[in-house]
Amino acid sequence: MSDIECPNEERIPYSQRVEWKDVVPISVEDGPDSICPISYLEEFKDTMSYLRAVMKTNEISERAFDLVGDSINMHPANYSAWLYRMELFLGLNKDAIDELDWISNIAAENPKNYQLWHQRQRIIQELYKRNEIENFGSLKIDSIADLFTKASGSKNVEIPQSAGKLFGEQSFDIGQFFSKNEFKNKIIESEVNFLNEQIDLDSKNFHAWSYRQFVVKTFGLYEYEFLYAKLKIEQDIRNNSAWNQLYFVLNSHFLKEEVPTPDQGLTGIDQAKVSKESILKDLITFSVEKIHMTPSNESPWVFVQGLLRIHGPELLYTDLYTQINQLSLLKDKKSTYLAQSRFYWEFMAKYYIQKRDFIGSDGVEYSEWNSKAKSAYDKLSNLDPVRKNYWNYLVEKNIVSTLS
Amino acid sequence: MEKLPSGYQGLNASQPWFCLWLLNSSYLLNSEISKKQYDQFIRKISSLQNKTGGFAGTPTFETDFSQSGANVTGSDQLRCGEQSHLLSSFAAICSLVILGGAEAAALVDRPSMLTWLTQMKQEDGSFTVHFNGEIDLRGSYCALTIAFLLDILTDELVSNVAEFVSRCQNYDGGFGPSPGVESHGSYSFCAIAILDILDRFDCIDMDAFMEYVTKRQMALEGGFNGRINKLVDGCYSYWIGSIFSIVHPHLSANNSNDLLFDRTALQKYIILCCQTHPSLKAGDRGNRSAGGGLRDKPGTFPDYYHTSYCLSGLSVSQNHVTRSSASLDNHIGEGLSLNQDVDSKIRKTKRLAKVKEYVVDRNRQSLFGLENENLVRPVHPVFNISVDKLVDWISLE
Repeated sequence: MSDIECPNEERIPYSQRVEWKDVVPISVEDGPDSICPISYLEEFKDTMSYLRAVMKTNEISERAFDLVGDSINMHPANYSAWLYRMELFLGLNKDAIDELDWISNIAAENPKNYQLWHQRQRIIQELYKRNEIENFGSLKIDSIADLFTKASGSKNVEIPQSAGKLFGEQSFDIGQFFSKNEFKNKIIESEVNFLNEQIDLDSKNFHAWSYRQFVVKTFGLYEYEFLYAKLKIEQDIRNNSAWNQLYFVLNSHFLKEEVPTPDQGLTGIDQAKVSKESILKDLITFSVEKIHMTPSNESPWVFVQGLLRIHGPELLYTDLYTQINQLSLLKDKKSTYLAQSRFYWEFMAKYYIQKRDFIGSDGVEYSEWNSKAKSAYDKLSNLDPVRKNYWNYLVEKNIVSTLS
Repeated sequence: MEKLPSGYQGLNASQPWFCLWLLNSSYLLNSEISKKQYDQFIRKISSLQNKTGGFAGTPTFETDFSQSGANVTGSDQLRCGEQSHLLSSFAAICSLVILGGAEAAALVDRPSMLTWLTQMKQEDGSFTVHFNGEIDLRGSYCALTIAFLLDILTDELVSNVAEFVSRCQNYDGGFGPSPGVESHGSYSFCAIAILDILDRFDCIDMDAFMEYVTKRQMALEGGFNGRINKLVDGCYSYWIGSIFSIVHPHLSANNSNDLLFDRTALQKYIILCCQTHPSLKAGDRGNRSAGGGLRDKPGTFPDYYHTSYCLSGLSVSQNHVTRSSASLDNHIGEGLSLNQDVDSKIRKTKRLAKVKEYVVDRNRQSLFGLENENLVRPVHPVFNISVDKLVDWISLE
C-alpha cells in the first residue's frame, strides 16, 4: 500500500522483500513457445506471481491484503484478485468505509472496470447479511424537502413544486445540492456521493448508472433519484442513461405505488395516493417540452411512447397526440424542425393506423387514414433512406394495399 | 500471435479472447493457421482449464484446495485460485470449435463443466459470470452457448432463462444487461441469441425490439451505435448486424425482403472508416498505426477485438445467411430437451439440425468493392463460427 501513497518511493520487488522470503512465486508466464505471449513488465510479473502464490494457499493475512491491493491497482481486470480481496476483507474484519474509499481510488483511473462496482455491491449485501448496516447510522431517509433544507443551510426551504421550475429560481443551486449530500447513514452517503462524482466525470457511465439502480432500490432513494434523473436530463437532454433512470424510478416506485412525484408537491410519509394518470400526464408535458427543443432527439420520443405503451396506452393517441399536434401548429422555427424529424413521422404513422383501425374497415374514412399512414412511411423512406428496408417492411406489415 | 506488447497486460485475465479474436479473424480472411500454431493454441487453452470445471482467463494452477469431479462445492470454487469465468470459458470453447479436430474436442472436461455451470445458475434464470460474480446477459449467452456446444444443455440450466431475458427488455424495446438497466446493442445481441438457441421468441415484444434495433444504424456514418445517442463503433457491426439475421424469420411480414438494415452503408463504414490509412496522416492519429487491423472509429487505433468484430460484421453484411422458415416449424428446440436422459444419438441429430438451420445463399452476395479484395467468409450469426465448423465439432463426438 505504501507504493500507492508514496509513488516516488522506489519500489522494492516482492522477490527481494524479507517478509516474502518464505513464499515461492507462481509465474504468470505459461512457458516458452506460447501463443500470443504478453510482454509483461518486470513489476507486473513480480507482483502477480506472488499473488498467485498466496492464492494457492488461500493465505488470510495483512501482507496478503496489501499484496492483493497492489495487484488490483496494477491490473484491475483481475477478477480472481477481487474475489480474494473480498475473502480477505471479510476474514480480517476490515472497515467497510475504508474499503469503499479504497475502491473509489481505483475507480478514479478505471471507471469502466466491471469488478469494482460489483465489489461495492457485495460489501453492502454483506453488511445487510450480517445485520451491520445500521452500525453506520439510521437507514431512515429524510424527505427531499428536509434534504433541501439541510443543504441550503437555511430553514423552511420551499418544497419544489416542479423540479423543472427549480432551475435558476431557487435561492441555491440544485446542481450544488447533488454534488455532496449528507445522509444519516454513512454507507448511503458514501455510495451516493461516489456515484455523483463518477457521473459528473462521465455522464453516460453504464456501470455507474447500473449500480445506482442497486443503491436506489436498496435504500429506497426514489424521490432523490427522480430529481437527480431530471437534473441530468436538463443538463443534457440527449443523455439516454438519465432518461432510462427516470423510467426506472417511475416504474419501480411512483407508478407502482401510485404516490406523487416530487414535482407534484407533497412528499414524505404523509403523502396521499395520486392517480397513475396524473403522473403520466405530467411526464407527457415534460417529454413534449424536450421534443420541442430538439425533435431529432431519440430519447424523449422512445421514453414517452414506451412509458405510455406500458403504463397508459389510452393516452398515446389522445393526450400525447394532442400535445405533439400543438407543437406542429406553432408558427416558430422549431416546428419546421419537427416536420423534418423521422421520429415525428414514425409517431404519426402509428397514429394514423390507430385511427384507421378504430374506425373499422367499413367506415368511410378507413381508406383515408390508411393512405395517410402510407404517405407517412413514404416520407420516412425519403427522409431516412438508411432504414428504407424497415420502412418498407412496416408498409408491408401495416398498410392495406388494395385500398390505395 | 508471436508477441503482444506490454499494453496488453491489462487483458492478462482475458487470454482466451486473444485466441478467439485471432482465430476468428484468420478464418474470416481465409488464412490457414499452421500445425505448430494449432498445437500452441491447444496448449494455451488447455492451460486455462480448472479441475473444478470451466476455464479461467489466465493459466491456472492447482491450489491446496483443488477438487475435481461431481462433488465440487461453492467453497472449492472460491479457493481454486484463478477462477473459471463464463466469458473466458465461452472464448475457450469457441476457439476449440474453430481449431477443430479430435484433440480440441477431447480437451474439455464436460462433466466438471456441467457441475460448474450449474453452480453459476441462479433461480431467476440468470447466471453469475464467475463464482460470486456479477449477473448479466453476457453470462446467460455464454453459458447457453457453452452448454449447447458441449452437449450438456440440461433442463436445469435452461429453466427460467428465457423469462429472465424477457425481464431485461426495456420500454424502448431494447435489452439491458439486467432488468431495468439501459438498453444496449451487445446485451440485445445476447438476448436475441439466447432466444434463438432456446426457440423462445414468444416471450418478448418483437415490434418494440425492431423499433429499437433498426435505429442503431447511423444515418450519416452507416455503422451502428450501441446505445441511444451514443457514437458509432465498428464492433457493433457484428453485435447488431447479426441480430438482423437472427430475427428475420420471426418477423410478421418478411416474405422476400432483405434484412432490415442497409448492408452497403455498413460495409462502407467498416472498409472506409474502420481501416487505417497510413498515407492520410492528417487529422487522424489512428493513421499513424501502420500495422493493419480494424478499429472502433476514425481517430482510434486498431486492436484485436475490433478487428474480429468488424470482420464478422462485414461477413454479416456481405453474405446472405438466414434461418430457413421451414426450420421454424420443426420446433426441434421445443423446450430444447437435450437432457442427459435423452439418447445421445438423438441429441446429436437435434443439435446438428439446429446449427444447419442457418443456410448460406451462395447465389446472393451484397458486396461493396471488389470480391477478390473485400469478400470475407460467412458465419453462423448466433455463434459467430462457420456452420461447417459447428457441424464438424458436433459430429466428432
